[in-house]
Amino acid sequence: MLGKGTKRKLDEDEEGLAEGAPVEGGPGGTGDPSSKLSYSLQRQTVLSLSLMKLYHPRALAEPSLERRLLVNNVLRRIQEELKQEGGPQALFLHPPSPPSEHHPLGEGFREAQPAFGVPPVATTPFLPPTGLAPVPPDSCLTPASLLEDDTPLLCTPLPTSTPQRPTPIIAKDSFSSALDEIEDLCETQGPTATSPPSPVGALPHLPSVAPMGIDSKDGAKPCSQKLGVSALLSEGQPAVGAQESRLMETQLPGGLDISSSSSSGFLTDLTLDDVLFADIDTSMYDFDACTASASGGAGKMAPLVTADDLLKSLSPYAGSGSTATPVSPSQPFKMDLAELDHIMEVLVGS
Amino acid sequence: MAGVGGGNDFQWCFSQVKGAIDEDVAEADIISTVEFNYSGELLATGDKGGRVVIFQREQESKNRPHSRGEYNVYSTFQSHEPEFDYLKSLEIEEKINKIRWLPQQNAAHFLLSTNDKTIKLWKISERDKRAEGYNLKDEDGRLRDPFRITSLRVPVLMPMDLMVEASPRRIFANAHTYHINSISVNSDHETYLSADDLRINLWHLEITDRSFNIVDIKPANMEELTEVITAAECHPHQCNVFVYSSSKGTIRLCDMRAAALCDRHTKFFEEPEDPSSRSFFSEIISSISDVKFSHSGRYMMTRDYLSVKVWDLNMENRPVETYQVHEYLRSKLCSLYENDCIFDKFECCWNGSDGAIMTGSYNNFFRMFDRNTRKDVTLEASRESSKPRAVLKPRKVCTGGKRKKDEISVDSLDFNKKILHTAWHPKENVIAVAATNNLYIFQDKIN
Repeated sequence: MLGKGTKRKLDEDEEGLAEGAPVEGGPGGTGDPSSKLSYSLQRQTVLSLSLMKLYHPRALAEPSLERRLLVNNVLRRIQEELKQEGGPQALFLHPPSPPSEHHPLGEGFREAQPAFGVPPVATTPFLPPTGLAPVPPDSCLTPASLLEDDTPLLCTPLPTSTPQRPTPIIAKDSFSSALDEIEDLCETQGPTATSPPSPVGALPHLPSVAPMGIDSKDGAKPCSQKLGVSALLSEGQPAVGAQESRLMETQLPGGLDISSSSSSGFLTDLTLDDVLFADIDTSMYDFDACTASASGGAGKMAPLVTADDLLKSLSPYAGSGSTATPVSPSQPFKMDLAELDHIMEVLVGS
Repeated sequence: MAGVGGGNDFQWCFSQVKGAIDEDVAEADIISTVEFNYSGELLATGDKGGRVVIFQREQESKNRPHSRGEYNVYSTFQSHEPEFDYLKSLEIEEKINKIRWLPQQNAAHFLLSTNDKTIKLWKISERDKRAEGYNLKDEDGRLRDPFRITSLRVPVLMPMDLMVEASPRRIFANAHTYHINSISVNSDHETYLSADDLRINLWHLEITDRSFNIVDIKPANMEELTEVITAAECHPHQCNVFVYSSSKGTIRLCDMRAAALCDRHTKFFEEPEDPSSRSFFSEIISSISDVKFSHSGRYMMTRDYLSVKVWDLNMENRPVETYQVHEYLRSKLCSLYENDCIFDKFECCWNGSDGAIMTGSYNNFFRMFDRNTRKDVTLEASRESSKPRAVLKPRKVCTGGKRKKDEISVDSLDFNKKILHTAWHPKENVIAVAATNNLYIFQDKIN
């Protein structure tokens, strides 16, 4: 059952696709693969939108507590669903990749329209679908918590406990957990980045997708243009931010406590600052494996690369919204470094 | 064409529009609240720039008995200024969130206005006489040399041009950590409540350095926060009763006699969710943006994103009436989520007899529902239909299929033109509708 709404057409834009199925026909709900697919697509869209809202609020003023709470609840709900879908899908779960990468997958599935035996990878969660382990209050990332009147909001890094990842679920210092996340991202993205034609992580696990791989790359453009979310990604700044958000995505947004945070943008910047300056663990900056292979010779990235280098690496990405080049998952690190570099410059006063 | 609003057949006509016409709307001019006073003689608006503009109705002239008095500017003042919280590095907006009038007790008028953090009690008084003939001062105000004064005179009061002065009499500050969303004057005319996302405080109008916290839903661990307070109101007759609504679509009625801290409600109003219409946005669209008691005190009305519900205070498990405001938006929720329109906070209001209710929508449409006849009408606040005493034509949104003439399709709606704030005169069929930076006043035309 497709639920209320207009009849969906294949070449309709995301609006028709995403909203045609208000009915919760999620995991195991309906047996119809295309409705499952559209539900997954919708869920993915909502997930991306929610993350964008939390980490890059468009409002100039501080977003309201209610709005952040509601968006957070949507996120939680999607996470719960993905967690419940768990099972065999857990094997297919990969570290978060940029939204534009999911959409090609979704696009690929939509075009293929076969009945998949396995759940579509489009449900690859943005976040690792593991339970939320409680963490002690001091693992909150923002030092702004020191300025609060009230108890600081707990930022919960999502522990990585999928079968693929041996990282134990323990409450760690927030910096270490962020570093771990980045390392994990780097490790798992590394090998897949060496095989450019394949959608990230999908190929090894879903052979049936392989023929669609190339199509999905080409599909990235129309798909990303159709989906309003990606419209933001094709701009420079929000694109960078989206990559930032990937860094932050493993934590539940820390901005729920209004008294503890200014805009989440501020929070994000602050957090990256802490990550950068507070811990001189150089393993974080060992990007050789990923960046060299992905960017084809960008070279070893020192923590504080020159702005020029970063600009060069930025521009291919900035144009990705309008080209068919899929975004390499390791490029976000360059984006982060660009942001960090900028922050550094501001701080140093240059 | 049957009108709505009191049982008689009548139609709504344009009366006045206030505000600039040009397309470029300054953010500061956007009206953020509209409120009639108890008699309906005064109409107050607040805007995002922190200003309050009060309109006064002129006396009905005998020459034109059928056209009621027009509202003209009575007083304008800057109520709130932008502030900066240095500790938290946050800007505090000067936008006026709510204005509530106090019942008039003397010649002056009093109102409460609030932004996100501070509530102010303003006194608006008229001065139309001036004393002349001081002994120690000249007419210009210069002091006279006391040695030159040879005789004494008694100053006399001379008429002068009417001057309306607004002065802040009380400032109620530093009581809210979160953003104030509601204020409500109690029926005892001595106290009022103010509500933010997580707490509700009870104030005495005379005392500014203290308030009682009567509701606190902040969890010890903010991570456990699942709902916030979205609106609160005092009962119109029982000074011990108030209600507050939540982001989960529930309303709690509390009795202040039961306990000092009313965390435990006396009544809990919630309509069970329809499982077949569940979606990702179910919670968001169930969030109540406004709650208003009827004048009788027997009912209350809540506004969520797509509907208005009337509740009987004696029945908690479901509303007695539900009115769909713009059901055609249900299939567009994803887009509305993307452009943030799904978070718009629409208000609603009763007419004086509680026989009709009104609320706003998009494209400068607003909707009125007659509770007795069950008829509803969609009207538009636009410059096009702004000729004096022009009858408003009912509008219709077509949801699919063939669009009839004069209908507008859902995809053509302008979601930037939203009517969030409306007010109904307490006694007559006169309504004030805020459309971005313009204030439209409509009145009925008795056939």
